[in-house]
Formats: sequence, structure tokens, C-alpha cells
Amino acid sequence: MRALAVSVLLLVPGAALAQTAPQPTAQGDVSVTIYNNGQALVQDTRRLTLANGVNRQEFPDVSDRIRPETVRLSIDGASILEQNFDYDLLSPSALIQKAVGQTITLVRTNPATGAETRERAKVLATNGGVVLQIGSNIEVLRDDGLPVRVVYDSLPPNLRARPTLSISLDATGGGTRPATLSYLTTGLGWNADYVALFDEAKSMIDVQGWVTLRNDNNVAFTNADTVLVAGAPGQGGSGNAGMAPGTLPGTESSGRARLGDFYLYPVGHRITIAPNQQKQVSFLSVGGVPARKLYQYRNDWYGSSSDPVSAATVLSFSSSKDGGLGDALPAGTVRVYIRDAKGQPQFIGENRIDHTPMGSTLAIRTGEAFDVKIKPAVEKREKINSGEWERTEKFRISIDGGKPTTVERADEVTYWRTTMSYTVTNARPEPVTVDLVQAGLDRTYWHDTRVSSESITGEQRSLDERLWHVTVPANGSTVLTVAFDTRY
Amino acid sequence: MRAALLLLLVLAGALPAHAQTVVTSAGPDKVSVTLYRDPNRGAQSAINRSYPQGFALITETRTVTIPAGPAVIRFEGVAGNILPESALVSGLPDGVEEKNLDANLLSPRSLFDRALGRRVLVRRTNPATGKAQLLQATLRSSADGAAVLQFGGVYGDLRCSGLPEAIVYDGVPQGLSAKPTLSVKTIAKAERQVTLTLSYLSGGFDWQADYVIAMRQDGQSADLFAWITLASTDVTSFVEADTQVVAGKINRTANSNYGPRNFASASYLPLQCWPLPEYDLETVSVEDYVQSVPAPPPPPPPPAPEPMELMVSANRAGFMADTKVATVEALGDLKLYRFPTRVTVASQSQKQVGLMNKPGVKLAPVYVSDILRENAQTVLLLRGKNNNANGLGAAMPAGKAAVFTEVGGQMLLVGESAIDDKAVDEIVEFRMGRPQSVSARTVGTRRRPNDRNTAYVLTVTNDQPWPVTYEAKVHLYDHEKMARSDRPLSRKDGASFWTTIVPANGTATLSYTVRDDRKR
Repeated sequence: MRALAVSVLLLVPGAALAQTAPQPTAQGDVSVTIYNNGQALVQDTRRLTLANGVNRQEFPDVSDRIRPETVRLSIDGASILEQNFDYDLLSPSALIQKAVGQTITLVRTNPATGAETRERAKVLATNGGVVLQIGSNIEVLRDDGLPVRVVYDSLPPNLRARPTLSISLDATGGGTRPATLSYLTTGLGWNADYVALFDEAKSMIDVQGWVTLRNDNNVAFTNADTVLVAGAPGQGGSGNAGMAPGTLPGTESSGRARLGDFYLYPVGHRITIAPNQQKQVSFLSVGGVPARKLYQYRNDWYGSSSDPVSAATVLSFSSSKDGGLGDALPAGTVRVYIRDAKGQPQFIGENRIDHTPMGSTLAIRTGEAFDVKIKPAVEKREKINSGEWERTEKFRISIDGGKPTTVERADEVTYWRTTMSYTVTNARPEPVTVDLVQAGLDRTYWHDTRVSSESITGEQRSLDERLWHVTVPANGSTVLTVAFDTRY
Repeated sequence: MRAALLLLLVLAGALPAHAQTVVTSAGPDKVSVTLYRDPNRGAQSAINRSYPQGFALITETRTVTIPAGPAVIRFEGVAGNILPESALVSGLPDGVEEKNLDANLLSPRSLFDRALGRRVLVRRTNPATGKAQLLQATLRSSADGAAVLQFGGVYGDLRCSGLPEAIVYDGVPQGLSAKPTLSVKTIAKAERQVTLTLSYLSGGFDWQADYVIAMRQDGQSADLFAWITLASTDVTSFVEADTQVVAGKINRTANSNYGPRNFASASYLPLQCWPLPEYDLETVSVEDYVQSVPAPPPPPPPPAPEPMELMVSANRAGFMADTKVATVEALGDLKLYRFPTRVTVASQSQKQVGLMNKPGVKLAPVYVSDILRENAQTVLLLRGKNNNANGLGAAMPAGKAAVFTEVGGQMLLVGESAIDDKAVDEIVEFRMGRPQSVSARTVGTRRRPNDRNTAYVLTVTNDQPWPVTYEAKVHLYDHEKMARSDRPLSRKDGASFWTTIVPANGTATLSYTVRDDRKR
């Protein structure tokens, strides 16, 4: 026993040295193109040594989440006969199933003495228990619960350790030649992560952009030429999260390469994507971009609130070449930091943006303002007559078959006038302007809403929304009153 | 000896693929922790101490010596719930080439998976003699199918025989680590010692304010003290940390995973065997018997960290006079409270530090009814304006409040409440719930069944030997209008508003008429 332990120790260091070398991979020159929807195109150029005639070639170290139906092999001087993806995995239960009708060896261990006895057995069936024929007796494997080891003489040919891609080729002439294997795989995805450090006094931001790519596969992509595609083919365009309301997407072209409709973000150098790894590589670093802070508030319906509601704090900047980040921004999360009194950056909130063209105006809602609050209230609700009349009914009447006369009925148009007040308070030591939006203007059956009076002139952003820029003095408050006339 | 070898193996195994130097930073020299409250947790709900949904920004200062050429710096001792995509490293003279979080963990499954096609040892222990036997074997199956081994020229399985068997591996494969590890890659021009700043967001933290209000004898003012209560469930303790909390609501996105990640499930190694015979034997009654035995009681939950006792502190004598409190500063549109001294934000713990100490705050009780037709709901509020004149004048973060009153020389709890974030100059109201001493009732009458006017009488009663302030907010439907009232009414919060003093042991009444404009 002692000798045995020593031999183990001797074994260990040698093996350890062998394992410190990088894991060998069967992959060749790999390039990976990663899309946003957790999908990637892998192109793997390997050197194949083929004999003249029909060859069966296995491709180990392909992604374990390969979509086998998308596999394509380009090779000169050989034609593809068939392509197989075998996923009948080697396991004890698969082994015994494939052994039906064959003879195996049973090794029984006597629990009292530890003595081993061997006998040959024929596997008859494996339905809910393994039925064996031993000599002329039929019994069920381990029916008595005593230790029995099953030993097989060989492994069946089609059982594999891992799902394996194999391709049969008909080669004209033997020799080594390059072959490019390309396939789609899931489990590889990416998005952008932005860090924006906001200097409120200077109204500027410094922005770093990182691409974050994740590999959920158990396979490494070694020294891979990696390209990231800002888009998901076949899934339609992206939304407009992060775009400032009331603005149009930018119309500038970024200098980056394009793939169809999408922008490409090359990583710059070859990288190794390890199994189960999340990797970040920088793609953008811009300093001193003008940015401003906005306050926004939106009331979705003519409603009162007994407690004041905080305005949203919004950081607005441009992705334009002039006075902006100067790049098309792939979708991701923007995290905003601001320096505290000691100069240490502190996190103040995050939000998501969709793919944003260059030249767009962005507005990132980071959180709620502690000191800027709005209290909406319904001041009055009254029925008013507009002084307008509308025809509501029209009849043609004929009495006793005489000449028909036309009779009309007109009703005076009545409106419901809702007078809203919005009390905006500011506990900050400087004046602020709140972009206040009342929505729900076009949601009644009549589609006829009028603003009959307002204490600050607003602008109609759409049929449904009206916007006021409410300026509030330092440590003060401003009341906006608006009367809405609706037909209901 | 063996342990030392294993250590060597682990260190050697940590080497990444390329010939680059690995520098390990074991821990921070200095750490700063800023806690953020769960933005989706209401003011009334308590911190979930098992799974806090807030988060923290950890800023660490670390000193490392980086060699010339390509190098990987591994950061150990970071928070367990680190959000790796938020990690920022500054102070590297030649910048960051790439950042990696490697979650290829050392586990039974990953050991098994990496040993595919390799030589392993199988240890078989003879159950009768206890003798162990080591056999050379080659693993022929991956973890997905479970163990099939080649022993010389024959093939077998692992542990299907019912005998004790174990696989003994000869080393730790490269790239497997004990914990998910953050590392950065840099290419330095020359070897030098640098001071790095590493900052990242991490889940598993939360905080709130806890207000202790001791009413004074006049019933119109109180001594207000507030705690910052913070909780951490992280595995890492942050020792002697500069600690801050941020008040205000922060936007978070759904795709940021702040919670703990389940790396363990990916490490699960199921060992399967061929089918064993199963019989439905006549001994069903045994099973029934087993089931009829009451299940053992669940083990007691692990003791929760002891919260600091609030009531003891609410002693009138020397009310919190010598507790150091946090200092406040504006952080953009949020508020940052800086702890007066460095503290240790310990793993799996709750901690309290003074937030503010405001003796002699004007905080008056007001009874308020919300009235809709014949339904009146009355609450008692403690109301004060958050300004200097009233003894307050500080940004008040959201949190719970416990209100005490002195009765016979003892401070007794009279109510519990909560407030949302309150800015300076805002009205602060602690809702104390439904009062017993003051009640309001409304009764409506119509002269005819379809009369468009309904006359209401609101009667307020007070059984206390002192007068109380009372307010009524009469809410109307959209088609209703306040036609007349016997007292002047104003508007508040979109409702008709009446305020009065209800005399000691007396009543107050309001009569008003509501017109329904739908009826003609």
C-alpha cells in the first residue's frame, strides 16, 4: 500500500508538466463573427490529409452548440459525399443497449471475502432492467443487489464521447490541402457596455466603450480573428431606446465597415475566447464631449398625486462627429458616473441604448432627482358649452306621400374642461428647467382635445403629448396651470 | 508534501495559453464601498436580508508590480456578486488590452470533462478487506453521457457495479479556477510598480434609513434621530472601508445581472448507469408507514444577524447626543452620505451608523380624512416642513420610522411608519395609521330619489381632552361638482379641502352639497 502511494506521487509531477502546456486544439486558423442575438459564424481553416478516393474525416473541437444543419466545407479537389452529426453518446446505458444479443463478462465480488469470480453472460434485453442469460439460466443484472461489474470486450462503433461532426469526401488525388469549415453556433454573443463620466460643472462627458462578449460553450476559440456585427440577422431592426424624444435618428456614416445593413466592430487583434468566459475589449474612448443634464416628467393621464413625484434625471449628448462621440453606437448599457466631493467617481445610474446611428441625439434616463419634484393636481372639472353647434341628425320626412321635406337637428357642442395644475419644486441651489409632458390627449373616443389656456406656452409634440419647459428658481417653485377641453 | 505539490499544480495550471506573465493581486490596499438602495423596494418594505436587491460600487486601490511585455493581472478578493461588465481598471500606464471573467471552475464535472481521452487512475476499495486497488484507465466518455472507462483492452463503467470506486486525476487542468476570477491583460513597456484603481458594481447589498422619533411632552415637537442600516450578503468582507450610501432612485436595466450567478449548476456531474430492475413489491405498507410518520421539522433557519436595538437608543436622557453622524453632499441629482469613520462592511452582516440627529423638530399631529361620497377614511399624520425653521432642513432618504412617546417616565412605541425620499422644504408626513380617538363620518341625503343634488354632513368626533387639528379632502367624481358648503373650502391635491380644530372632547361638522351634472 505504501509503495503504491509513492508511485502515485511519482506519477503526478510528470503529468503536471505535460498539462501546463496549452491545451492542444484541432482547430486551424479560426475566425469568429459574432452577432447580437447570441449567435456566431465560425470559419475554421484546417489542413486535411486525404487519400485518393473516399475518406471519412472527423472534425473535433467544433463548438458544442454547433447548428449542424448550417455546416459548410469548402475544399479543393474533393467532393462531399455526406455530412454526419452523430450525437449518440457513450454511456453505461447506451453500452448495454448496444450489447443486446452479445456476450459480456460479469465480475462478481463476494461481499464477505472480496473474492472475484468471472462468468460470461449474454444480454437478452434492457427494458427496465438488464435480462441476462448465464449458461442455461436467465436472470436480471444485480437483482440481488450484490456487487456485479460489467466488462465489455469492445466499444460499439457509433457511440461517441462528444457530438461529432464527420464528413465523407471523395478526393481526387491524395495529399494535404486546406479546407474551410464554416458553421453557425449559439452560445456566443456580445453587446456593448459604455462608461460615461459626467462633469456637471463643465457640462462634459468622457465615454469609454467596451464590447463584452460571452462564450457559454465548453470549447475555446484559440487565436481567433474576431469580428462583431452590430445586429441580429433575421430579427428585424432594433428599437430606439436611448434616443432623445422628439428627435430623428442620426444620418451620418461612421467610418466603420458594414455588412449589409449592419456595422462591423473588429476587435483589432486576434484573441483567444476561453470556455465559459466573458471578455471585454475596448472599442471607443472619447473625452470632453459636450453633454447636458435635463429633467423630464411625464403625466400619462389627467390625474392627481397626493405625494410629489420626482422628475427623471436625463443625460443628453450627441453621437455626431461634431461635438459628439463621433461613432455609431452598438446596443448596450450606458453606466453614468459622477465625481463626488473627494473626486472619486460614483455611479449614478444606467440605461440601455439600441443601435444608434452616428449623428443622433441621445437622452439617457439615469434615475430620479432627489430635489426636483412635481405634484400634479386636477383643479377643476367642468362642463362647458362651446358656442358651436353641430348637426347630429338629419331626416327626410314625407307626409301622406307628399313632397319630402328635410329636417335637421343640431346640438350645441359640449366640452369637459379639466384644469390641471403642476407644482414643480426645486430644492437645488440653482434654477432648473423641467421638460414636463402631459400625455393622453388623444386617447378619448372623439379625438378632439383642445388646450384652452396655459400659464406657460407649450409645444404640441404629437397628437397625444404636449410639452412645457418649466423653469423653476433656485430653492423655489413654479406652478403651471393648463386647461384641457375634451369631448368626454 | 502532497498539498505542496497540489499548490504547485494549481499555480502552474493558472498559466494562460500564451507565454505571458501572470501577476496576482491578492487584495486591495484600500477600499471604498458605496451602497445603493434597491430602487424597486418601497419605503415600507424591509431589507430582504437573505437576498438584498440593492447593490454597491466597490472602488479598490491595489499595488502590483507589472513586468515588461504582455502580462495578465488577476484580481483576487473581489466581491462574489461582481458585475464583471462594470469593472473599470485605471492606473495602468499602457492601458488595458482586454478584461476577462473566467468562470471555468474547478469542479467534479470540469475535471471529468477535461480528462476525456486521458489516463486516469481508478481506485477500487474491496468492501470485505478494505484494501484499495489502483487501476490505470482511460476515460472514453464525456460528462454528458457519464463514465465509460477503458481498462487495458476491456471496457467498463464507474460505480454501476455497486462497489466503491473513485477516479483519481493526476493534476488540475489548466484554466480551471476556484472562483470566477476577474483579470486584465496589459502590455507594459517596462517593469514597474503601479497603483491601480479597480472599481465595479456588485449585487447583494442594500441599505435604508431608519428614523427614531421621540415625541416631546408638548405633543407638537419631537427629537428625531436616523440610522443608516446597511446589509451585505457578499462572501467578501471589506475591511476598514471608506463607506458611503447614495439616496435617491437610480435607474437600472433588466439585462444587468446583479444577483448571484449559478455557476454551480454548470459544475454538476451526473453519473448514470444501466437500468436496474425495479419492483413494486408487496411491502407498499412500509412506504405508507414511512409517509405517515410526520416529517421531521425543518432545521431552524440560520440565525439572522442581530439588528441593532433601536428602542434602547431612544432614551430621552442624552438623546443620541454623542453619536457621530454621516455628512451629506450632493452627487448630481442624488445625495451621498459619507460615514464619519472607516467601517468594515462585513460579509453576511447588517450594520448601523448615525445618519442625522435633529433634536426639537416641529412635528405636529394632524388627522386627515379622504372622503368619497359616504366613505371617509381617516389617518393620523405627524407632519412637519423639512426646513431649518422647523429644526430639520436636510435631505431625508426613504426609510422606516418608529415613533415613541414618554408615558410614566418610559419611552413607549406608539406607532410605526415610513417615508419616501424627502427634499428640503418638502412637507414630511409620517402616516401613523387609523386613529382611535378621532373619527369622521359622512351621511348623504337626497330630497327626491333622482335629485341631482346630494346633501352631505361630515361629523368629526374627538374623545381626547385636548383640541386636535383636522383636515378633510372631499373627492368628487368627474361629473360631480361641489355646489355649496356651510364653511369655506379650498383645493388641495385635486380635492375640496376643509381644515378645522376639533375641540377637546367635542365634535365639528361640515355640511356640503354635491351636484351631479349628468342628471338634468
